Amino acid sequence: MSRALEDILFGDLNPKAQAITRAVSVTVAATLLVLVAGIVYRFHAAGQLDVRLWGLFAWKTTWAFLAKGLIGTLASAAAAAVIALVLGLVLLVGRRSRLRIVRWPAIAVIEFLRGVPTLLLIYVCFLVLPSAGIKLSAYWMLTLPVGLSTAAVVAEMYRAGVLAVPRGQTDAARALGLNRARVFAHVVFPQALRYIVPALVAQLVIVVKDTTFGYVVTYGELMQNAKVLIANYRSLVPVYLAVAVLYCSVNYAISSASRRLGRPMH
Amino acid sequence: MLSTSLASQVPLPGRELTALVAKIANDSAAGISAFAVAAAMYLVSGLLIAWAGATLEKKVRILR
Repeated sequence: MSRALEDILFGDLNPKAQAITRAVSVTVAATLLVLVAGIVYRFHAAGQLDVRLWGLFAWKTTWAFLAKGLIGTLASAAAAAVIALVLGLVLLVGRRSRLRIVRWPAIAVIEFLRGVPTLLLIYVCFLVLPSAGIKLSAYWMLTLPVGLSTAAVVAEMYRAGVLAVPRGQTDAARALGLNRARVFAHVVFPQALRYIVPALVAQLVIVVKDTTFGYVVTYGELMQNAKVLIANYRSLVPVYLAVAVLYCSVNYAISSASRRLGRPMH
Repeated sequence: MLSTSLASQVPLPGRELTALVAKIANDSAAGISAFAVAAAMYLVSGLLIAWAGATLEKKVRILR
């Protein structure tokens, strides 16, 4: 007799499966260790771990320059996130409209922005718009495409959250006499937001990472400033490692803050 | 698939769509049309991948 699906998916592993899992885990861990050791050795052989290349981190000016870049990154990411959250809501409302004349354009915009790489949109702002007489600052040449790309993804996240809210909630609110707009604004959307907090935060982390495209338009964000340091001091690995730690810290802070938002209200 | 546009930022051998249209826009006045064609190509590729994924999902989905 075949095992029930729940047993296969969620049941405890038998001893043989446990032994296989352990063996595979140890093998993978050993392989990763060898890989990391190989990378460190290559860096050492290339002189990237020499003390003189790390000396610049003892200077206040280096950290001030990186902090300036970090502020640039956060400023761009914050504005892109606001654009994405607001425009995403507008696109969601458009997509759920009963009117075809509203619904179809909203779907077209969402599919277009989801289907085109952010970098291509940045190039449009950087290369095409100026020739059409529209001149944006480096900040907006980065922030606008990142915000627009994210808005389409956020709109689909909102939609997933709205669809996850039980139908009974809408029915109960309508029975109380609320119209469609008030049901959406006061009952469905607040609950939908709770469902999608983890996905939204993951998207905000992607927004922060997308701002690294700033060096394409020479906007002074963290990656751009890191490149300037590398060009001046030729310390490729130390600078990239420091920048990676800064990006990880920012994204970890965002994730930590989101855990508080995602907690149940009661 | 969309992340392959990053190839335009590294010295990758061979041509990549985003790098190609950026070069066309730099070299000629055909910027907007080149970008429009590239966007259409990305959209069509994305739709094809989505269709293939949906077909595969129908075949392998676990019915409960």
